[in-house]
Amino acid sequence: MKKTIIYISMALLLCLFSAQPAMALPSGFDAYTAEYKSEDYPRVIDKAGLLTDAEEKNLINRINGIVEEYSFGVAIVATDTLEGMDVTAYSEAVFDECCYGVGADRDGLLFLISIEERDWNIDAHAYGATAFNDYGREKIGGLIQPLLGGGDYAEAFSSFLDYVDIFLAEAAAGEPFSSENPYLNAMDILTILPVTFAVSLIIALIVALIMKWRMKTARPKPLAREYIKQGSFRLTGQNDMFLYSSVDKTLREKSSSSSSSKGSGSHSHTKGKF
Amino acid sequence: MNVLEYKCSNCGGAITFSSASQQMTCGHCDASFDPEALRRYDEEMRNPQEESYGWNEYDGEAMNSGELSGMRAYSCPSCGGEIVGDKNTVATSCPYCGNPAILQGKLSGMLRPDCLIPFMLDKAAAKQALTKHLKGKPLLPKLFKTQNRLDSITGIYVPFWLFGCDTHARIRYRATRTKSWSDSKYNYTRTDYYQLIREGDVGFANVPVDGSQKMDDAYMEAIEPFDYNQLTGFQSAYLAGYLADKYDVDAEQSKSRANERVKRSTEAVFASTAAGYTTCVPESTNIQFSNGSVQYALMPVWMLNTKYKDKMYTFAMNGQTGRLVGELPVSWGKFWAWVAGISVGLTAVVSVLLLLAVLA
Repeated sequence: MKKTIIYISMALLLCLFSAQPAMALPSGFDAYTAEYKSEDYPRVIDKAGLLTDAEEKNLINRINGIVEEYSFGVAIVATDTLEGMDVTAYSEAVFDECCYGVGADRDGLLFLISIEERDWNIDAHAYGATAFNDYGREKIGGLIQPLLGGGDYAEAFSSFLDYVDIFLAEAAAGEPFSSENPYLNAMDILTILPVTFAVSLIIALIVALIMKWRMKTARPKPLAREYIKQGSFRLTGQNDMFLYSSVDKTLREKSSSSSSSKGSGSHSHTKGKF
Repeated sequence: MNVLEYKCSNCGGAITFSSASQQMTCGHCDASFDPEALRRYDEEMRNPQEESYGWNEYDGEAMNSGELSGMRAYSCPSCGGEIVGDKNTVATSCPYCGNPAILQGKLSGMLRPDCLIPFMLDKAAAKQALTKHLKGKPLLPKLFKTQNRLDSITGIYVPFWLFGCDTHARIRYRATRTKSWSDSKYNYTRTDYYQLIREGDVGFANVPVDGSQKMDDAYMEAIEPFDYNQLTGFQSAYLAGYLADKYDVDAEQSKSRANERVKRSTEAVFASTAAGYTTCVPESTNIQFSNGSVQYALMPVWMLNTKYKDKMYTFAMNGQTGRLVGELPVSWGKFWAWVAGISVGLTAVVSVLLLLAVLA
């Protein structure tokens, strides 16, 4: 209990001191605290009116379950306009002013969409940037972008929470999804089927060529090591001289996506258009 | 005034001394060199030594008339092979090409071998070895196995030159060590280049080189090694029941192959002392041969010939150790069936495993 009080106090202090004038809460959010009769902002804010009450409640219940299981804050915000702000700045302002995130570091993830600009943004904070690294945010954004584009917002938000759950579980197991530990779904497997077949074909050709090579055993022997007189080998001089070094530098491959990632302060963003 | 110019051993560009790093640096590829290492490298490159091969001349002894009178000579009108056998052994087919129309000729001018290894394995063992050789060959045409009928099987003493020598070697290797790492933007590979010098002695005994032109050198090297503990002095009595070939590649002509094998083996033996490098390639080899000796020997070989689809397939078996080599026909239908089977099977297995991982 004592610890919880300390964490809450620290979180409140952080909220107070990290609030900058440029990051003031955009308009229209105060209504939500009034609506909920609480100082806490709800974890789903639908300023654009995209969700029914039942859908909104369902999403909030699912988020509460995630918060409880992983001690990790998740929020979904749908706004009708960004009021001329950049989507990342808008997201940061919402995340900070609404005090989203859990614990002293405010570990959390905010998914925000704006209908007017057709922007989406995933804002990861503290531990969020570990569990949802550049790869993770781009992957999730890429997976739900078609649903957003099709106007199926409730389904998009629900899918977002599905992926959040999967990615948090993987991170909790010790190795978050990344380019080295990629997340694959059934559709990915179909997509990479031609690649799998091409690689298999190359392996099959190598195996068959080795079999063919073994059909001929009459091959010259370039060495005559069997005929070295026993005990005749004597090393009388040995010198290993370092000459020089060279360093090759190649750009690491990055997956192509319509979205872009960046980090500002302790926020990490991936944004895109739908 | 002479200006001493060092060349970069990485790219060949001119290198100059950098007062800032106290190193010799290349303006073209940015490689940097320790001046002392460069001086020693330069010294090493300026002192090339000539190789010398100290082989003795082979001075053979002709067979006496008594030995010659007990032998018969045969020649093959198809491939030109010439073989000999004792007077009680009848050659019925050419061991090289399987041609059954072999002609008896006149034997003359045959050198007496210094030594031979007698046949230790008989015809039945050769047939058994071939049957075993055909097993576990998935690309072998079914008909080759089921309709396999040996056209000829002949035990023949093949002439070999056995070279022995002591060598003193000084070998320069170019070696590399690589290390890779990454940061968020780039993958890096650092390659360190070394010059290795190895010097020492190694001796060789009885390196065999096939002395028959008709006999495929690849076959004869592939059935090696022979066990020289059973090497014995030549007696014409050993030829009874077998054929023998006269050498038609003399010791002088065979030396180049012996030199090549001794040289490559020496490089490999000294390279095995250079552990911990990613690559190690001989850059220059200087080998001085001494105490070179040459012996003329006969080695026991079973030659097996079988015809399939109008093509003769030849197998050779070491008549002492039983090692059998040859070339088998390939069924291209089976080849592509294996390619299709493996690729489809692998694709299915990988896809199912990925699917299970996703659904888990």
